[in-house]
Amino acid sequence: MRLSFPLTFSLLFLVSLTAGLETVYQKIYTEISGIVPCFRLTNATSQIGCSATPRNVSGRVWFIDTQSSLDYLISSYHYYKPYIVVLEPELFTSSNVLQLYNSDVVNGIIIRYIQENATIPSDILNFSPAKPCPNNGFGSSQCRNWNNGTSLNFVNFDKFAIFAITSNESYNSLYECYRDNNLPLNGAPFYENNRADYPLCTAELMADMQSVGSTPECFQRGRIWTNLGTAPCDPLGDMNVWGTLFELRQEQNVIMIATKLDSSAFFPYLAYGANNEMAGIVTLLTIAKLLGDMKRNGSLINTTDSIMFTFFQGESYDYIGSSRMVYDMINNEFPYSYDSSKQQPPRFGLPKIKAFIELSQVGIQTERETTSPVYYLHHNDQQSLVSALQNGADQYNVSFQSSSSSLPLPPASAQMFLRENQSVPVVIVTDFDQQYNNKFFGSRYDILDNLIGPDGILDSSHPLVLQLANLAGSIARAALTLSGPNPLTASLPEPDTELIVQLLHCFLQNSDCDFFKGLFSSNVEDVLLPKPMYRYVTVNTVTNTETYVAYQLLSNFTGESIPYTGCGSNCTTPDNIETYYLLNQSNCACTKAYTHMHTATSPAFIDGNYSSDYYSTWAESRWTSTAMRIYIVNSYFVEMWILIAGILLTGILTAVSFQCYRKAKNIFAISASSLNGKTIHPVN
Amino acid sequence: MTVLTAFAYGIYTFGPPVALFFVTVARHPHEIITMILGAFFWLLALLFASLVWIIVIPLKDTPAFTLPISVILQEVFRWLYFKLLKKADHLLEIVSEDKSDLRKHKIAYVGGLGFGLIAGIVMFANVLSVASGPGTVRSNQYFVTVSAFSTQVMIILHICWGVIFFAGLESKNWLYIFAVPISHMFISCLSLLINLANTPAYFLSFGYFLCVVFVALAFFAAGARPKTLVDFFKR
Repeated sequence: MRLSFPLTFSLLFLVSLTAGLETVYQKIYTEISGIVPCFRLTNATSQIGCSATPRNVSGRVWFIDTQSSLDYLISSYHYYKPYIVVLEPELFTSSNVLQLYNSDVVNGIIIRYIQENATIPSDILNFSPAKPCPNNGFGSSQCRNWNNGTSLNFVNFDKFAIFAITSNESYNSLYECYRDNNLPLNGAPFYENNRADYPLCTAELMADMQSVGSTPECFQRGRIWTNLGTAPCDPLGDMNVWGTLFELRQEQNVIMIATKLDSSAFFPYLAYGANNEMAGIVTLLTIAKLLGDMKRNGSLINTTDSIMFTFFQGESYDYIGSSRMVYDMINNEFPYSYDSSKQQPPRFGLPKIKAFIELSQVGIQTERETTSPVYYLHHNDQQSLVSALQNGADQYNVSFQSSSSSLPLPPASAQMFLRENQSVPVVIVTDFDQQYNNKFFGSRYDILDNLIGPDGILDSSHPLVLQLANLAGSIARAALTLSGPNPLTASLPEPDTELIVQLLHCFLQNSDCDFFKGLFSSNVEDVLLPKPMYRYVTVNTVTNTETYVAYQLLSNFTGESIPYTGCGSNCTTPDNIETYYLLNQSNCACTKAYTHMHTATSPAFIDGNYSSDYYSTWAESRWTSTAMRIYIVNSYFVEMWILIAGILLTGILTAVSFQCYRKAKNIFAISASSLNGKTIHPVN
Repeated sequence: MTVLTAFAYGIYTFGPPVALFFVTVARHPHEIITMILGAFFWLLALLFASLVWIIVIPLKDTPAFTLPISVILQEVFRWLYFKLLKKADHLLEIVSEDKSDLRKHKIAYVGGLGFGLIAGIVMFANVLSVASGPGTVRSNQYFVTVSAFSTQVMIILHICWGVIFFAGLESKNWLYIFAVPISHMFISCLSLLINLANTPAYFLSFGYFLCVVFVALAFFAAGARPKTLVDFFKR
């Protein structure tokens, strides 16, 4: 209403040109919603991702669906440059993107990616924009090319924008704008050198990144520009989640079973990471449920050493979570720094770790539909650990093999522990031996499709589900054996395949499922969305939904109900106790679990060593907005004529009015003649 | 569309009236005051029209209602403006060096220029601001062009209406007095119809035709005759 008021009167004559009272702005511009941006991240030495700063980038919209038309656009079709290129997904390859970026005719790229019911297009066989050796330079062992990756995620796109459109409606309105305006006459293909007519459809992409250069530069700016010390970037980080089955005691050693919570992709908000590490998370939660069930039904009273379930956050960005946990352990501040006023679990360090079992990519077997899967154990000469796992697999249809012994350890959180203490017994459980099985590592196509196959139906009889169930059972048995006290004789209960189906469905298909909704006591409409849950670590100022979900699930699976009367607010953790948490459930039950969150911010940000090459320094740039609008532009032909006409008209009128003014007494003689005493009016 | 575009349309629309201002008005301070006063009266008309627009809530989105109200109010305020100038006539006569009857026509012309300029600015300014780019109107690529042309027509007509209306009131010439509001209402309401036909070209042709007629009428009302116009071509 505020806008339409001046409009009504200023356009008194013009409103009628088109129906309805839109503002002139709306007549010109269409805002495109449902976009996911590529944005800027910085580390100790460089910046990656996209930034359109200092200006928005714009260009004529051009849809490209074949390789030859893409080459033609770049090499010869320069009539309407610059362009914003809308690529078919299979053309969004590393070489094409770099070619478009380096050509001086393209200002931005748009690709289509519909999150709901996403599938991998059948003509995309592999796409991994991650590094050949993920987290290169931060491990304890030397790197090798585990992944057939192109490192596209780590390219710096300056004055260039790349957006994914995630809504069909937006994509269609963009296409219609192109089809109605930019196609050459008679629909002839532009790549045969057919010219299009003005007006032309144009898109403007806004991705205004405030950070520049590197993380040290960003924080330097924060010091110089504002007295408050707010830098134009925020460190990546979140919370690690960990928990033990029983209360941790001072004398106990620890058997850690770990995986990572976060994932990565070219568009970080499209990082679903089905095999990086969703399969691992699901397996770990299944283990927790299995052992938790035994605890609750009384068949497991206690263990000599403690089994600790650990979810690391931010691992995709140079091991943020695990490096912080190790840092705190070394400084004797894990799990909490000492506070005499609180009841705390005992602090422990690296020597207490009796075994470190990490699940790292466990979802894709080379023979995809196999019912007797092989998992590879990458370890630092831990034969006893390997045989414990192999014995654990006895009961299940799964086998463990030591990986090729000449290879270094693959990139994994365990590297952070080994880096400080080579004697930590580490075994990394993977589905690959020498090279990742995951063809879509670090991309937006690492989705459920990638795990169950294009025709797969997710139910409890799917080979994947059985593989993960058997893997979970084997590791659970091995963990029990390792934790003691007695050699395990009894069989374990069957792992819950329905739980695996439910978890995969909620994480990878529809996070707005009843299972997840039950974990939240309050309204979660904008937290859980009816699409896969993205797993980008994000900046450290907010706790991710995924972290909270993992925390709640682990608490439910490992905890037990305690006597609780009434549905009041009594079921909460007392302020001075950090040993266990009491969960306020919506169904009015109270659960006691030994589950904790642990800060997952890189140690580099604790002492402000932003140029560290030892700890992760990734930070995300702040930005004001990422948006997109489309409009049509005209040729200057009409405007040039208007300008010429305007100048001519003004010139002529100046001359005419000057002469009229000079000769007024003669021209308007009848009025002027009243000077002579006669009052003669022109008409009357 | 760029800044150049906005400049082109700005020159086209406001170049002529600004040229008239500099040639005929700018050198006479009291005429500048008269012109600003005319612009002020037009704005008062707009203010009252907007009050009507605010009060009559159900018809807010109906230009067919607000448009005639606005035209009537503009004509009422043109009449009030005449009344005010009439009261101040002897004062204006003192400050003016011109004591002939031509002086009254000139005052009318200056007032009309004030009405026209302010109407043009209010009509076209926000179109001009978005015309600086980068997009152009989707549904009608000549939207800004048509806006510029119509605005120019209205500015020219306002100048002529000022001269004719004042001459009519001065000499009790009912033809002049009624020609102004009727033609104003007519051209305004005609603009509502191009919505249906979507033929701005007809509207603009008619608008410029009306301009020619009213320029001629204004010259005639101010005392020009075919035989006196010959003097225009003398040195």
